Amino acid sequence: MCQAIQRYKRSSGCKCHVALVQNPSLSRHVHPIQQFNNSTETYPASTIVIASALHKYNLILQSLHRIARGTLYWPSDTPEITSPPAASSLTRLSDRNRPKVPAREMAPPPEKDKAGDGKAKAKSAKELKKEKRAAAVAARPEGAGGPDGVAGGGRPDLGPQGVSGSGSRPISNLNQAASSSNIPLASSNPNNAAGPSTSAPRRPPPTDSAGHPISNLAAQQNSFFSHLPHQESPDTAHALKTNKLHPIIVRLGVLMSSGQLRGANARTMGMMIAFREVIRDYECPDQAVLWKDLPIYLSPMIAWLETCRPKGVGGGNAIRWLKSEINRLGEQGDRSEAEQKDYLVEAIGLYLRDRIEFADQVIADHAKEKIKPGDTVVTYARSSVVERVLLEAWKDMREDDPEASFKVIIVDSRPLLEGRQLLEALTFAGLPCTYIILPLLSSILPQADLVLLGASALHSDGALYSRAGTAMVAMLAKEHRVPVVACVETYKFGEKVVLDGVATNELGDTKTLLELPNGKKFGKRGKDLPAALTPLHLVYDVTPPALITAVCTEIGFIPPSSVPTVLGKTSGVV
Amino acid sequence: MAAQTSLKPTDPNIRLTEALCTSLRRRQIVGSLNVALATAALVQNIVRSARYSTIDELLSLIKAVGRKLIDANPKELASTNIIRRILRMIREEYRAAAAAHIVSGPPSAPETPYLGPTTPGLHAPSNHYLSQTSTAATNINEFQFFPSSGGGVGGNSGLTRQTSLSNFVAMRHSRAQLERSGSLVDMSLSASTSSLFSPVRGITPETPGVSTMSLNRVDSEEFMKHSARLKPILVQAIDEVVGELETTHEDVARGAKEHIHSSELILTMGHSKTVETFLKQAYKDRKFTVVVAESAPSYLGHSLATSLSSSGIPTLLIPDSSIHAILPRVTKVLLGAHAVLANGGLFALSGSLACALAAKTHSKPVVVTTGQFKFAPAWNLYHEYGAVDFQGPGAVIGMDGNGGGGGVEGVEVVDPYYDYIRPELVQLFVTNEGDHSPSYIYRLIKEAYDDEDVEL
Repeated sequence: MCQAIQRYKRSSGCKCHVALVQNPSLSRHVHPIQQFNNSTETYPASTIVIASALHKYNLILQSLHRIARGTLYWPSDTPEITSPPAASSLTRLSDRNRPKVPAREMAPPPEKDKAGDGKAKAKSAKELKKEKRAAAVAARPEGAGGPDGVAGGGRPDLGPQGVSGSGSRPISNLNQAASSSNIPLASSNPNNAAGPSTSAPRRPPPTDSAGHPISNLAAQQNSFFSHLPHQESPDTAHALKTNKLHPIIVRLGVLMSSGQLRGANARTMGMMIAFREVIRDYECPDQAVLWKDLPIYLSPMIAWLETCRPKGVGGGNAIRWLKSEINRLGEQGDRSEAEQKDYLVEAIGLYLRDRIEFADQVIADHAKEKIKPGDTVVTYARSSVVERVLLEAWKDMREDDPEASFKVIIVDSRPLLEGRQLLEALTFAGLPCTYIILPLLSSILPQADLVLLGASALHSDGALYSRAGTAMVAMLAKEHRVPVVACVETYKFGEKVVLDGVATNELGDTKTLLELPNGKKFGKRGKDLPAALTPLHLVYDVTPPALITAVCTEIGFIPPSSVPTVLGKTSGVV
Repeated sequence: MAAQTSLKPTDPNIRLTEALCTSLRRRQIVGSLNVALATAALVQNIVRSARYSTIDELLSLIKAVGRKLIDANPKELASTNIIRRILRMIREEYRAAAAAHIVSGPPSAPETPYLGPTTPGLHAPSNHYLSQTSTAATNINEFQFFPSSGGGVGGNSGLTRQTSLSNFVAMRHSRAQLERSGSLVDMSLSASTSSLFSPVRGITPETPGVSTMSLNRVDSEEFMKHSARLKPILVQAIDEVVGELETTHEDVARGAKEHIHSSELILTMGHSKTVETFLKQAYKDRKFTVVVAESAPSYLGHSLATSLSSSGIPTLLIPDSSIHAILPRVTKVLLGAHAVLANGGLFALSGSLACALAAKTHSKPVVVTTGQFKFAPAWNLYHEYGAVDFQGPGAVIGMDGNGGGGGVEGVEVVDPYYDYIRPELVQLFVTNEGDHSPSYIYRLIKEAYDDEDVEL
């Protein structure tokens, strides 16, 4: 067994180590929240590597400020659009759209776009569609196509900082990948410019020859899971043209939908910070009352975010809380608009601090007690809470006894492979790690002493709604009699009950599913996928409460059956 | 007494054996069936070309090869299974021939061996068995032809052996074989057949009668004069085994439609040829959908999904992480096996345990399709989780990171080949010879191999 377990040394490890120290803001070392940040900008090493709670918080603030200020841009202004004909023609399309008065731009029907095209006679509508399709396919190989797709449009009148500086920033600092290639930038425009109603034809049919022919549509067409929402690249152009969305919300939606902002905590924080910006920029119309007008102002943004990615229980709780806060403004009366806005801005900050930041801190304090020297802790994929628990437990243990140590088994699974980031973060901190993928887990579980899981939500029957695969880990742990502790903040407690992972779930991206590691493509190169084959990627699964030993929350360890109790106690707040 | 014969150093079979061992060790032969076929081919070569003067010599030659194969890769149980199977076939041929030889008198029955393995009963005079019965009654050990093959096992008197369960099973089996071979054996002859065909454990009782020994020796010596004529029959018998192997998939798939009803959603993982054939066969009669888990890190699920969907079966390809989420919709879990153990547990591709457990939590039946050549007379009661067989970590973490290792340093990466699945997690084994529950596997194994071959 020993000889078979491979110790892994990377030949050029040293070099990379140095590189990491020099540039600690490498995105994979940073929590997704911080991926808001421009990865090309470096922060002082001390602030980043493992950001303390406040640091992280501030960074997020900074990053979202930056997003609000600097990252809006007209993609068509980018001078170096490498031009496949499709891209250029479509850029022209958006060029044409741009100078128009926003009032006229209010939700133009897509047919109008097409008609305009027909007038131009540059391309027939059919040809154009074909090109769009090709461009969309070309865009797809680049995983980071999403953020680049924050396309033209926007509300020039919205947010003073919105557009002004953007012309001088051709490529946003969020475009990490764009430096390596401009293609996604160019080609995702047509994707967005295609208009809302063209979403179906925009999807290439399964017989596309470009090698990534399977869209989520195929999965959707499958009758078994047609009820589930799936991630499509959001229609940013249309969203901006409606003039009802703050640009930061559009950007946030793209980040969420592209998977750059992943994880319930990160998404909730991103969303709340974005709404804070929205509230800051919000100006109440003269004849309206703020507490009545603001929810109306926010609701299309909330709806749009929902189309980008279902916000989940945690996000839903946060939104509900925000609305109740706004309502309370009405009860308090007699305050100036600025005061009310300040109050909300501050309240959002407090919410994030109390319900997420401090909650995580308390959870880490609780959970690290359960990790003893010599233990082997199993965790699945990447949870910001679990990562924190492990790092703090490691720090504490090392402070007490420099010889003491515990081992972490990181279980990972395709297609997201989030565990790789956790692996790097933990090995960087010096934790001895074992990396394994989900199907192989059972062979190594007998060595484990504890399983730590993160969650997207904890439903009121005690079922854990979390990244797909979590239930498998818990099940195998139960089989091997290893205690399972779920680390969940109480803001993720949901009042709903979900019976299984079929009724409620999300369909994820299947592109990565069809790409094997080592660059191997699915099936034979250049050959189409068989028509009968449907790739399917469920993003979440439901771990039944019977598989969970205890839930670690900021109010302490509770059994999963106590969720309703906690919900009842805190219902005013949650 | 048993000559621990090994092949002569000059024998070309040594090279063949070494070659097979090497490729087993390096896992160049993938899949139990291929291992079994390669092993059968090797043994056939040995039977055909190696030099041996007695049947015992041949048996121990083959056993020696078997031991080598075990050493080469202890987890490829199929190789030794097939050796056990062949050993049994050889014994049967030999017994059949010997029976004929005894009946027709030592020198005068040279044609009997030519008649093939299944004929002695037909051609033996009917009183042959009666005469044997009387002999057997007087000395139960008299007609056991393998004076040298027994180890220290057993060694009790014939009567106790006769009443033991294992003997009973073997007896029943031998009778069944005899009946299958066309001889209409009188019920009263069971005693003689049992003594003749029972797996011979204690050949050398505490007090071996001199007469018995000499009789045996004379018999085998005389018989060995014809051993050259026996050779083609043995080769033919091995051909039979090979033929059985080659049709395994079709045989397993024969009853496929009885197990699958229409519009089922069947979950499988990896790429088991048996499962593939089974599903394709079933699709001729039933319409259903298959869910294939991609089975990292081998990603065999991808090839199975391609194969199934190419032949028109609606197929969903899912990542392994989605298995639990999709299971509420799944109606049946179909798994292939690497090896099936005597307790009904099995070794299967990594991830199968997770599949089976998920099926259990959702109360879905788990069906394992397998050829009987994968049934190994081994038990895995005490080392369930220690029986892990590791492979290189490249497939898990990737060699192509920054300088390999997926870009991370000092990480332990484990990548086991197989999962062990407890018998309680399996509802049914669909084999090439009928469908059996896990609790019955031990009997099938008992019937398939001779007891003395359990330890090669």
